[in-house]
Amino acid sequence: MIDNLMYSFAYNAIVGGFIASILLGVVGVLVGANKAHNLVGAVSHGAYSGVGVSVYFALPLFACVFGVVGIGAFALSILAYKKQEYINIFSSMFWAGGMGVGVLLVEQSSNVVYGNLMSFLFGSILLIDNTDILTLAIVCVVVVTLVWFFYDSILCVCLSKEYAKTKQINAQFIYTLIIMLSSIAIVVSIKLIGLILILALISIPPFIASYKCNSLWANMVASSILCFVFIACGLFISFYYDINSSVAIILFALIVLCIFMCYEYFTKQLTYKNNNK
Amino acid sequence: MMIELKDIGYTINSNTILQNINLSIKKQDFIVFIGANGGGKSTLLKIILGLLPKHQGTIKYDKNLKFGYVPQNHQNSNINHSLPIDVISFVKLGVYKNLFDRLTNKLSPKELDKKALNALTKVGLEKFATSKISSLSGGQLQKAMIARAILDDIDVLVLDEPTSNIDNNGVKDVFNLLTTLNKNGVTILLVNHDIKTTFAYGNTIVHVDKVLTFHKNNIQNLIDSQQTHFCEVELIKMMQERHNQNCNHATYHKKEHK
Repeated sequence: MIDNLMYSFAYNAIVGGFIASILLGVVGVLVGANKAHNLVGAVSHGAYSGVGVSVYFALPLFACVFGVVGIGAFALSILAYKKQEYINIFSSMFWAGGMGVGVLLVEQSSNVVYGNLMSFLFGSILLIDNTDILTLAIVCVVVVTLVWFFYDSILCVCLSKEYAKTKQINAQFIYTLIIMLSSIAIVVSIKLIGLILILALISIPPFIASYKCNSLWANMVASSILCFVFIACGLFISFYYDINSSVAIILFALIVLCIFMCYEYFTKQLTYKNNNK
Repeated sequence: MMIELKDIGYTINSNTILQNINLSIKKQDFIVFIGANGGGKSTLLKIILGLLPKHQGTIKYDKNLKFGYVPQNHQNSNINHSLPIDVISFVKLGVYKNLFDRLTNKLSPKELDKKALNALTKVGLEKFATSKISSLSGGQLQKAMIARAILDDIDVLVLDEPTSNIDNNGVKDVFNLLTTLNKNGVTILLVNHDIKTTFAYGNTIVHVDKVLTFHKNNIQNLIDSQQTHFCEVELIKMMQERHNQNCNHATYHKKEHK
């Protein structure tokens, strides 16, 4: 493994994985606290229409994807805030519609394709370059700074939007900010492990960490550490067993989750039995 | 007047929830709102709190009025019970808005911790300060919400069924706390379904069913708040006794039956 780190692609993978871990650890907790997995999943999947527009009209990829993510996250978060009962329907529509438009435009395009559908969905951490790392780092700094600055309001909104309003907190602004930051963070991390598998990395670490943490920020730190452990161990497994790195990362995370759940279950049973003796 | 509601109405999808509401709230009032589910009690509280701005009519508030709010606590309420935070952080929520506010606020984080612990002591939850909110029972969570509402020096405390999940002793503690706050100048606006506490503590009882019907609580002193049980049966018995005392049955009812 140490020999492999001498290669620049392996070094990039570890550095990129480290930055992405911080990013996904922070936004994963926010997404979980707002039960917005479906909404954020829809925005980031719908982002494929940005890839389609970029390929078809030969426009800059990042500008197109960020444009779609920005508009989608803004519209869906306002809808989620005002009409919670319709959010699943509109999320599904944005999810399917965005991917449909993206696939159609990429298929019809005669321009050079920057990335095919499979790499968008499953990614490849071993192919990230310095530009990707720089983009990840910039987004990570922006996200962490904004979350740090608005932490008190974010915590209040995550607990109850209604209560936040009684405390003169602009709950709609904070909720929209959470969804937009989460969606942008996910989009810049797509190249690492792909869109489908990234949803597992924003769900599993915060879920495990929430059992042991008593505050939102502690949960973010623990989730980021877990995220990095999953990425590093997944990369190690992928090197030695020659399997897809994204798949190795996610399967390793799932195995850890299963072991953790079994441990929690049996510990609880044991405590219950001891208390009733 | 502290708060004055004039011709307030509220409609959702052409369904009238409240209409022609006129209500004047004075300092140190202890108003209990009663009535069947769906009558508009919670909506009225939310209108007073400014959470439902799209209502008809006008509301006038005194300047710099500070509200404390204890929302309904049931499974479908909009409180995220699974959020991984401890009880003391839960109580401190909303005091600081952002990092800048945290650094410039007159109340330092240490002082805030003391205040929060003090509020938890008042509701008997000081032992649970570092427990997670998800580990609290329904009643304990409701007490934590009350502690959160009284953390600031508030003028008006608005409570929506605050004792619905609390046992008898807990109810007594909560109402004793409300009485102390009321005596210290805090106006209490409370939605309640329990007849005993409604009569024992409220000075004005308002029935809400789209419109308001006011009742001055003249029997407040007749109900012993320390008595462990008092329900509708005791109330009817009490009315019967008063009726028997005030009525000459030998003559009056005979006449009536004829």
